[in-house]
Amino acid sequence: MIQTIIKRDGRCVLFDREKITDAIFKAAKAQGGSDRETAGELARQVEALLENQEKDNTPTVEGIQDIVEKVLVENGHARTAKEYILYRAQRTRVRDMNTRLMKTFEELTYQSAFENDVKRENANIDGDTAMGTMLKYGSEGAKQFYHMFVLNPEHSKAHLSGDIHIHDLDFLTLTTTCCQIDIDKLFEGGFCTGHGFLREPNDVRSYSALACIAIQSNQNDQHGGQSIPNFDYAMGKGVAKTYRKRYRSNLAKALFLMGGLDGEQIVKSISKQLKLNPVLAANNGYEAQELLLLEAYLPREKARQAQAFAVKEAKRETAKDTYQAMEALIHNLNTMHSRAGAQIPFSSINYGTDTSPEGRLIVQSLLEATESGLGNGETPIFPIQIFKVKEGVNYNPEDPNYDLFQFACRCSAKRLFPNFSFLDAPYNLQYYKPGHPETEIAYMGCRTRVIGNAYDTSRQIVYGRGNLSFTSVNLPRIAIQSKGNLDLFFEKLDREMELVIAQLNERFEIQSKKKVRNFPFLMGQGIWLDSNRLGPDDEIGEVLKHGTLSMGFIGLAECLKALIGVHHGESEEAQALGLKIIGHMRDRMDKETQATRLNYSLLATPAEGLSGRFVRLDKKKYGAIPGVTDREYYTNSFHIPVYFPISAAAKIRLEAPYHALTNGGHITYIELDGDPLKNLDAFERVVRYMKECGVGYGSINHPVDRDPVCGYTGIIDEVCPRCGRREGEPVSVERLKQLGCWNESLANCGYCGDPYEERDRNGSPNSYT
Amino acid sequence: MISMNNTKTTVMEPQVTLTMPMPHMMPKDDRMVGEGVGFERIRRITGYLVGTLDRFNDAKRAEVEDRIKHPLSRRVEL
Repeated sequence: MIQTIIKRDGRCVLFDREKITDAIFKAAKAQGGSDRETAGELARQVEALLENQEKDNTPTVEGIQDIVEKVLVENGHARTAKEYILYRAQRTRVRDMNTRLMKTFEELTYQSAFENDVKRENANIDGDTAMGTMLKYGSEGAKQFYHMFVLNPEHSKAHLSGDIHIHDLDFLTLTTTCCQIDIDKLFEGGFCTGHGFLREPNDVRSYSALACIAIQSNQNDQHGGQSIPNFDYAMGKGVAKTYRKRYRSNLAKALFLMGGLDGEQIVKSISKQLKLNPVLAANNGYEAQELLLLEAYLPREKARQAQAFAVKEAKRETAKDTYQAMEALIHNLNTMHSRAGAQIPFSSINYGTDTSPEGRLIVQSLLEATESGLGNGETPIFPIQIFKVKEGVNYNPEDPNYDLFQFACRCSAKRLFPNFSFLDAPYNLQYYKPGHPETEIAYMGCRTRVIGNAYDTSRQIVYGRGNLSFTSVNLPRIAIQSKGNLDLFFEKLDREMELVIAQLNERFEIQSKKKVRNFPFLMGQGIWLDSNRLGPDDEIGEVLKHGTLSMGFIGLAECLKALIGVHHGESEEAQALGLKIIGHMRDRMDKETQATRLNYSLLATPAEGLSGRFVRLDKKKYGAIPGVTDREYYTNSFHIPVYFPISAAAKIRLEAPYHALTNGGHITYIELDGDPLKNLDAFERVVRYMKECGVGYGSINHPVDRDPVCGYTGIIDEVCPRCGRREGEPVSVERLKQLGCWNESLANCGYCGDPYEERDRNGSPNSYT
Repeated sequence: MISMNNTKTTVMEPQVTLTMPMPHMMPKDDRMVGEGVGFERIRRITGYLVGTLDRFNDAKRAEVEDRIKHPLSRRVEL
């Protein structure tokens, strides 16, 4: 007689036949059965068989389940047996998942980011901090939950096996990717962060502070980044307000000093009488009208002098305020926390086309502050800055903002930012309407691009829109499986694309059911286009249709290698095939857009975490195939492989046509040798060449190294060119003193500023007139 | 092509070696600083920058090490 059984975890428990009856009855019920007595009879048979088989041994749970299957089949209960087996498999899967999840949690708990790649999946998140690890627990737990209970099993399988990659899967049921925030509209009349109300800002410093808060608040409502598309236009309004205030307070001072008058009272009364305001450009006739009124208090000549003083001082102070506002913005965006402190907000700003003196002052100050760097001269990594290049505005020497374009090149040559976007590329130019900044293409720093709008063709604009979700296709795998057969390749690709479209669509269905109250800032404050028309309990499905659903891809280079043995940097035939493949993918997206009026787009996936994941899986499956799976990463999107020797011009020329095809976003970068600051002319020529070739978004990489001990910023190979130490080596304080870069009170405690650079800094940036 | 060998070195916690308590009294300062302090290397990752290389995941680190320079030829002239 069976007394006890052994559970999976090794524990011994009392045998209970009723449990077997329950399991069998449950399986029968799922198939429409309702006869518990039969279930009991079958359980008795199981027990009898067990006693016979196991004799002296204590039976295990697995052993019992095997016998249950056998008994069911032998008694002719085929359908119940099938149900039982399925149930058993499902339970095994859940158990496996639980074990795996606990294993992941264990690693997250006891390994540092240095040891654990999962903790470094996204360089922007500090996986070593308490909040960073807490986020990872949540993220890993959520992913497993979705695989078991939410995702279509077909999509789950495709993701787990590495056919496709569903990005930001941990947020599957929660939110959307990113948004271009129109801060101009947001600031009008003030706004609420969800934790408190902020009045409409009244000078450029508050504009800067509130811009950071807007980015921070919205970042907590979405899983991707945040961008401001109209940085110069919107912040310029803050400059205008500052100038107005500064002009009036200086005029009041002048009136007091020159005529012993109650300046404040006079200025107040004048501002009540005049409809105009003083402006930086001094081109609206304000001064003349004001002069007439001032003549009531003091002689004309003296009034003129007072005005001249006010203009001069107001300009100086406004420039100073603006510089400090931009400096504060950069500092804030590099230090303020988001997502429970594990991250700083992923921020981007687009600028360069506002030709007003206010907008220009913003850009100039921002670039100056970026050049100066952070507190110790470190290169700021946020916000991602994007300079919009446009003919007639800033591209040619006769253009009004050409000086800013050149300044942007200089700044980028030192600090890697800004990147450059090109409004004249035909696919960007088609939306451009002069005088309508919302039609100027703006990018998310990572590369995401949203402008075309099939859902509402009257609003093909950038503001208040973004990507909803994206899923990438593993191109190299399809190529490997096709074994050089192009027909087979396209057939497989088509099947994969159907799968991705279905998955994007299912995710969109989930997102659509969300309500405004789930996104207190993004939707509650009307950031997202048309969300201001909704109430807190309304579903957001309709307004989400302004967003994009993107299919991405990785490893075109490896894909071509696997198909025809060469990549598109090596042969024209490969380039033609590459364009055919990517063009084919774009056509499929366009077709889906036409059919559904949803904005399906093709994205050259950024692929930070993905670059290693796909190739690891493929190497395991297909071995190390030369040029395909023999490195630790797949090449980014349509890029020419980073290890392939090619001239800057050829790389730009070959990659440009893919920009036209990838309407969901793209970027091209080149690696420049040496110190580009010493050859600014070449730097600008590269940017111009990108524009002429039809690149949409590009940037130039060059090494930016820093020795935190002596503060040197520039290129460091093995040895610091300033203090002569090698990595990790100490240097004598005597030497640092000789170099003039020793600070006794700080003891150069590893994070020294650059005294040389600080000496060269323009302390009060009054160069602007 | 630029040597990237030393990028593999981990950036350690900064350490300060202070051997002389009253430096201003000393004619020559023979204290040493900077032992174990690495160089910071800022690189672009996918359009954005990251603080230093040690925050990169394994695949991206490998990619950065493989990156080679693109020479400017005369063809860049427009």
